[in-house]
Amino acid sequence: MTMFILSKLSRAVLTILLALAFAFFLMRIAGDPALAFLGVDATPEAVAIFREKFGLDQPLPVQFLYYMANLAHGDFGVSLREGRPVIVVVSEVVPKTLQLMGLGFGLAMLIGLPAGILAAVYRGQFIDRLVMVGSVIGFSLPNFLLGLMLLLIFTLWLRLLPSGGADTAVSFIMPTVTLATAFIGVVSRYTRSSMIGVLNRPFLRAARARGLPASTVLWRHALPNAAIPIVTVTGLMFGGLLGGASVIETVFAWPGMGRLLVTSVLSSDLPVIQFIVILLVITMIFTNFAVDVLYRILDPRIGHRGSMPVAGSAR
Amino acid sequence: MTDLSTKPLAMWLRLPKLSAAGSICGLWLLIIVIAGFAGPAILGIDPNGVDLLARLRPPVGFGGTVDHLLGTDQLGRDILIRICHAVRVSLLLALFGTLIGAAIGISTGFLAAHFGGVVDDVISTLIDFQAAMPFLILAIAAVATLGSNIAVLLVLVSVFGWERYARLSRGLALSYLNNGYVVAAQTYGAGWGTIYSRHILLNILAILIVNITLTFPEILMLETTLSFLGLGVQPPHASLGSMMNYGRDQLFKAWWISILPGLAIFLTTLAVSTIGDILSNRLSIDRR
Repeated sequence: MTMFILSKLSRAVLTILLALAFAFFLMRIAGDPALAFLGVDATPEAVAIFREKFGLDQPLPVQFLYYMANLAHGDFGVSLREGRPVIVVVSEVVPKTLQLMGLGFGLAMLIGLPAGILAAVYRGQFIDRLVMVGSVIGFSLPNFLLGLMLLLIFTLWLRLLPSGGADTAVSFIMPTVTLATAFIGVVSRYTRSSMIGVLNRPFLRAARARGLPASTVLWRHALPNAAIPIVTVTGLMFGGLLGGASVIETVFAWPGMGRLLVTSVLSSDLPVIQFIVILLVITMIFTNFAVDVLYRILDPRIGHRGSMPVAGSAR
Repeated sequence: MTDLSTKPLAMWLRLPKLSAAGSICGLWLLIIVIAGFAGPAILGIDPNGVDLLARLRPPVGFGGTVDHLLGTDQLGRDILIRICHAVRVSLLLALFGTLIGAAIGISTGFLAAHFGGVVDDVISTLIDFQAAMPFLILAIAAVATLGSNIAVLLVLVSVFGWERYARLSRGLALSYLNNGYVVAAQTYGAGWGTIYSRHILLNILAILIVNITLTFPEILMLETTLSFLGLGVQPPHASLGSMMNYGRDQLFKAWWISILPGLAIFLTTLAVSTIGDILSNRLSIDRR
């Protein structure tokens, strides 16, 4: 187990280093950040001052070394739009996004898991069809359409909920529901198919034949065996939740990282975008690492090889 | 030989029975395709025709008149004709994205299966990397560096989802390569190109088509999401997503500008997903 974790960890660190280099060169092939930020009609003097201030007048390899050295010191650059350190600008908005993602994840699990289990147990019956139709509608519904419709219903017509911001507890309701909807569909579908796969196995019939109550068989015997694909989806959901958050934060004027990313792209604030992407890559790599470790805890039969059984990505 | 290898495809092509849900979905797709490709010619209205005297007219049934069936936007442009044009942009982007992605994925999957070793390692690592990353965020970052225009968008939707085809075709090719008919084809002198394209590809086509019905709605969603955020299709072109973005600040005054294109996206993704479900049930392919 220790060897497994060490080898996984070293690979994760290597991937992060590659991603850092990739992020740097991707941002630099974009063209001149000075022109992108100041506009094409900027005076040459202004461009020169801007370049000097942000170190853009150095050759590319020198810039890269400075960039890596700065990263090692925890210096991720300065936001072109706000003039403050990127790390400060981004860390101000990260908690709001994490709250939204946590609540959305919780709601998706709270509804998706039981719905999927019910559908599997009552396979082919009315409940099953209801869950399946609901899940297809759930992940076919664009989150921005759902968000706008909720705004119309609950803000304009019923006047119950605020249209945006994150000031009060009720502000969380619409963004959370919007974020969770697609994932309720995904979780219930995966849970259903995974449970169906387990429910047909002989060891469950044997458990029933031994006289164990149906609920014990379901919770103690079936669910743990169906857990692996469900864990895979939840690992993938993390990235999807983050993507969803950038849309939903824009719709509900939520002061989070997703909205910051979108506004930074619209205003060509490359250092902020770069930092968010780096943060994201690191988070995703560690999420995958955690999922890998979790697999081995859940199912000791899983070996080192082929330890990333990802089955299609969740949005 | 050919008869045998095309059987999985023929099996579902020859199924004449269509469920009620399947027919409704098929009908909707037919309507949306006709609206997108013949609609502009039939209606004959200029999608960018500004009519400041007819601004923010509601759709028929909500107090609107017949000359603007789905109402008008803040410049008095007809929503119906704009949706028709936007549908064409969105559908074409999603279609090309799906097909190019499938082509990239299938060929890399076959390459990995055929050569193994380092080639397989590199391709498999790329597959795992892309599967792990949230594509929307990477796409947003790519737009930040490359700018937003149709060409960049086409590249992004094409790169989306290739890894699924690659994983599928790699795994399936590996299992089919040991089949008797591949050995037989080799014995009578068929080249690898023929074996992959005529024998293996045709055998796994059904699974790949089901995967297409799964990926197409997501690609449509990716494009409309980027356009909704203002990072996708730019004026004078319009996609369903950019129409929604344009009407967003008028939501409380004129909901139809945003909501109607959104419904068009929703019904299209729903129809394709449902058809995909029906197909995978008939072929008993485990999708999720």
